[in-house]
Amino acid sequence: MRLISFIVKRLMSMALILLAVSAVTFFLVANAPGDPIRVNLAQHATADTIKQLDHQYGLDLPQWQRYLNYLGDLAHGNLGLSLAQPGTPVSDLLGNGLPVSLKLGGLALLVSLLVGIPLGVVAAVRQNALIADNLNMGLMLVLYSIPPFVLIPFVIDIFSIRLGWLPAGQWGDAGWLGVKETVLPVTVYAAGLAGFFARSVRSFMLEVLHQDYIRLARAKGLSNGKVIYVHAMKNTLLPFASVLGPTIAFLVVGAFIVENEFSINGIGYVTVQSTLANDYSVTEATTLVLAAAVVIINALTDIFYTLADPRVSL
Amino acid sequence: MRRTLGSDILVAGTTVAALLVSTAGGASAARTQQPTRAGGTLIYPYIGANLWVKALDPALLQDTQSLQILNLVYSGMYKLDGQNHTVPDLAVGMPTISADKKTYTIKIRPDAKFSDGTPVTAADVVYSWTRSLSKKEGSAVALSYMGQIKGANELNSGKATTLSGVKAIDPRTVQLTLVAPGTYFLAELVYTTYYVVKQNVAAGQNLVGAGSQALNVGTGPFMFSKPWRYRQEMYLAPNPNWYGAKRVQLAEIDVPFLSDNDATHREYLAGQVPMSVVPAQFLPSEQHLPDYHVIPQLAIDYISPNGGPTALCKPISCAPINNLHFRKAMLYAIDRTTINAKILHGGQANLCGIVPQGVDGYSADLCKLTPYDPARAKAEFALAKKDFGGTIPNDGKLTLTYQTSGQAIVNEYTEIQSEWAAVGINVTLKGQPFNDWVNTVTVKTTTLAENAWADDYPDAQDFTHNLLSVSGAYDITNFNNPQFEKLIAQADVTPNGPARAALYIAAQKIAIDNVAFIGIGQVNLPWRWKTNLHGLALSSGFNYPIAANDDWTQVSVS
Repeated sequence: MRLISFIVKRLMSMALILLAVSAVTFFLVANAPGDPIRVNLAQHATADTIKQLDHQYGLDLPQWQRYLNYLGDLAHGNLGLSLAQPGTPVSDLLGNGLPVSLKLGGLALLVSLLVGIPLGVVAAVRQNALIADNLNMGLMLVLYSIPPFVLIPFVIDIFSIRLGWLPAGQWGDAGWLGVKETVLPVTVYAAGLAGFFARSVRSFMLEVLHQDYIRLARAKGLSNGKVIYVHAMKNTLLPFASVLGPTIAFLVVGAFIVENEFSINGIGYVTVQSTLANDYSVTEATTLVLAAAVVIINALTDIFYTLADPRVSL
Repeated sequence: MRRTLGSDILVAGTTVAALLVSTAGGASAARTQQPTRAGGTLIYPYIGANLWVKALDPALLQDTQSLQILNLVYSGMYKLDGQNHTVPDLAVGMPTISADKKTYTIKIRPDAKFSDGTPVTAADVVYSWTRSLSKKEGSAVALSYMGQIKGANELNSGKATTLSGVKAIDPRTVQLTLVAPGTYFLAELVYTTYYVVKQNVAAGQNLVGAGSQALNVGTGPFMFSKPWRYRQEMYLAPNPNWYGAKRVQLAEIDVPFLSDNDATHREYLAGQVPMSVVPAQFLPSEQHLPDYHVIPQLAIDYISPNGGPTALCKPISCAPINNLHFRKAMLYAIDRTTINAKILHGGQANLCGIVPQGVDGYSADLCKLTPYDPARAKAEFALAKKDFGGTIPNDGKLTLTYQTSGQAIVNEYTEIQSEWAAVGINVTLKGQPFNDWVNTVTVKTTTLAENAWADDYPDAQDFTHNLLSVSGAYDITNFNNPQFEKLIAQADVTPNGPARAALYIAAQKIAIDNVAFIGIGQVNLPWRWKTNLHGLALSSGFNYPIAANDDWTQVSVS
């Protein structure tokens, strides 16, 4: 019952947050420099043509009226048409981009968990060891610190251009080519996350390893593996779950860069390009979708955390 | 230690395995079909910010890039040859033009067919042109290219439902009537708004969306074959009903969508795509390679000084720009060769007149009127100072606005600033993002700005009349010279040929004498493509390689 009440409250606050996001995005984009029609046609349009097209797209209406129209359309599930790609429904762009971004982000998350958690555990268990801890965590710090736009040219230069092992871009081809296309973007995307996860896990694990019950377990003669992987691991993963939610925001930002650099048609790429082209309807829709993703994942994290740890109440 | 290394190896192995397992099943179609013609498969990358063609509807095309696909699938009565001259495509010969130069009669080829095998009729042409101009289609460009046709305005504004100036004389003959004669109309006739679509394609129908592939039935040399991978790749095969189909060598054209020049260049270096534009930063190292090709595009970079009455300039007055000696000082102080060859590493060719190389009306001799001559610039500057009573007005307050689209242009205008400073002209540079800059160069109140123009159609009228005439739609210089106006008015209706070109050259001489503009450069288009691609060429009207002379029967991959 308490859970249902929590979910209802969360849904209500989510609706309010999304309404606020829609308003902020709408008015920010609407007041950004440049008219979308003028930007598309550059100098090749007379003032009369611009005026006529502004009218056609409803851009000559007062902003508050445009916002209300936009909300009305949203309520009917109508996201409108792209201004930069005449005739293309925004839903086409979202429907195409979302699965791509989910796959890319999901793979990056998976890889970063598979790399970050074990390396964090190793560093905690062998605290202060030169390679297992210091070097390992130093490397993780470097991965965490290097922005993807710095890392990408390096990996492309080495693995695509010099060695010729992996494609420098494109996405979604069939078979082995499709697998190879995935490796570089996922690796770059996962690198920063893996560094963050490894350092978080190390910190949580160290705290757990100093608890009395761990000392007791060791005193009772339990094997080192059992102490670490059964007793310490469980209690490390619990606080670790709480950092996963905010990680989604990190994933979204990463998508902007990785998708752009590797010519991947995900929602991050669509967002960046629509913003640059003053393509209002697309920017508003993608921002809403991304905001919804962050809010939903955070809510799910809270629920999971509560279910996993009875000490935490809703 | 052993345990740590083991953990690392385990993690690495698991990661790779996870990557492979999770991606293996996710892909759909691929460019793996074996060609059945001897000419092979051409990988023809499309470079565009949206990772998809912007327009496939010929009536809606606004950008040059979309032409890369659109011109393969669709066609019209006329097209451009490699030298930017209008030549017949679906038409039999050039149009018959009436004595008053207002009525054009066009005969359709008897073998002109859509890719589904149905013949192209005069009714299809009338339908297509009417559709382009219709209010429901909402084209931002149709009126620009078709506005001269009688009844175009009425149809476009919704006051009429038919195009009164176009009619089908018989099943293979179309006749159109213009409101006023204009030779440049022949150049406009090649624009995509005149292409032919099937009559079942309604106005306003989406031809570019995820489920629109089947609607794209055109008359071009190729047609869509395998299903699109939406926003990733398109596949084309020869159109068996095209009039030249038997001679086409290519078996297939695959078009992967790439985000920008840098991404394409990386993929070229990695061997993923067989051709790439060369980004500016690679010009010094790649312009001597055997697979390097370059051509000046019909895109010009010039400076617009506002020579208008003082009240027209904001925020300061037009002085000293409206002084001819001052403008001449600006003109002679500029060293185009240093700017284009050294600062831009060959990214631009020198531009002296307003009509670029590649269009009739261009003349290299005009460079004699715009020499780099600092001594002469200083002398003109002294005369300007004298005109103003010893002090240059607004000295130190003059601002040149330019678009900050990259480091190259910053370097270019910094050089111009220093060249002007060397003769005493003090100008502050103001960089603006494209969104702001485009507003700056579309109002007549800008004092001094970097300007740019890419052709609407390859005709001198588009550069002279549109950019410098008092009645030009895109003039921001407030240049007003009766002799110039008379010459271009005469040229606009003179038949194509040396006499017409001479009129435009004479008009440009007047504009240069009055420093109505300061030409800087004509943008070079540098590409690289593998030597096993045959029959491709760069054309000044397109920003990607096309078939040489637009003849796709000659293109092959060995």
